[in-house]
Amino acid sequence: MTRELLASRAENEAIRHEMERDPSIIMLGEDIAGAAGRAHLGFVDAWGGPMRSTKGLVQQFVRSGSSTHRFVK
Amino acid sequence: MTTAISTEAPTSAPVPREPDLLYRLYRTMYLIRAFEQKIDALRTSGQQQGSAHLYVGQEAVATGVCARLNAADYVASTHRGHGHAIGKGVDVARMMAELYGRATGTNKGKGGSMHIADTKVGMLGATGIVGAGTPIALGAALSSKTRKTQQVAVAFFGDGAMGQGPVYECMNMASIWKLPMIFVCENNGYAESTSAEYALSTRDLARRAAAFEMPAHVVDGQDVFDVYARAGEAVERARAAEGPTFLECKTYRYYGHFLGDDPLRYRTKDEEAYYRSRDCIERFEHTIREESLLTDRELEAIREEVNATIERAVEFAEQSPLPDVAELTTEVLA
Repeated sequence: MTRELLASRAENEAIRHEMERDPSIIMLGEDIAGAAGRAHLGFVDAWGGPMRSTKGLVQQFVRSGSSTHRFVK
Repeated sequence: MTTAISTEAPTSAPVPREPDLLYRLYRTMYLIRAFEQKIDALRTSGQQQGSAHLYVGQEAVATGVCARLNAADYVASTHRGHGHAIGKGVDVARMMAELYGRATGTNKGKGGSMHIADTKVGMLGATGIVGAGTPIALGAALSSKTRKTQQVAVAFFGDGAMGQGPVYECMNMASIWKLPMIFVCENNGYAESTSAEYALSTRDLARRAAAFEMPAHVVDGQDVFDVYARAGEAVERARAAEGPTFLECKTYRYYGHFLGDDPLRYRTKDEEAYYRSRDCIERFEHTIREESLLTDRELEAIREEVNATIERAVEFAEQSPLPDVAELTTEVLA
């Protein structure tokens, strides 16, 4: 089955699938969610990366209150 | 407010209020702002293509530092580089033409906003790579020392670049070789949309530079007099072959990371209002009035002249030709 989708969307889906499949995977990067550390001000996932390729992943994979969560922004 | 991290020179000397200097500082700050606001208008209306990283809010830093430099001195810039280029004396008409992609641009229309360079006035170039201007400035400083020319090299970079290894390598080399270099860290509080308070282990980045055994100061980057005073000490030290200085200028960008970014997705209106209440141009005007240094009429005349300069720059750019197709393969490395 083939689908046509933006490269950034494909990237997003591939990361999501892998992280769902394998709980040992962590994601590490600068600005991959945006507004890091600002949930108390109402900001979560401001960007999803400048190209939006990681949009939505922070909500799905960050365990709130954990200092060793799987999505290190 | 200036905080000295190093033990040397705990306070900077007051800036003499010479009319010529006041004129230059005000004109440069206003020219940078007017240029940037014109870019915003032109790109929002679609007259100019693409995005750009605007410098509005940070004008006092480029202005205060560059006002201490000669034409022969060097600056290496960032992705937010229009202010540094203007401060160093690059012709705004040629910059505007570059932003329009025209043959008369600083880079013949092939570089755009993030590659503006003009080596005739010591502007070594903007760069799309965070922290990448710093090794270039280091090389320029080394060449100056080797050739014994007394030229000073300034590296501008942001708080985000303090997460880049080469910046630290440069601080070390500049220190051991006593290079005539100034590290100007413009801490505007954000690396793209990530706040410095979250991402950086220390509140004052100057503390890190102090570990490389160079004078390192926290400077009010929204006060052109503070920047000018500290930059003066740094230039003097560099010309005396005493080595580098690090200035952490606390500042703020009023726009988003790039044109089109909505910063209210990661910062509050209250925070923006606070920094705008400390606007570098308004504070300068306030000081000028309080100390009766220039008249409102003189300030108005400067603004009018600058506005006319910007209009002429747009006219020049719009009337300039696009680069010839043959230019596609010249001066390009791949």
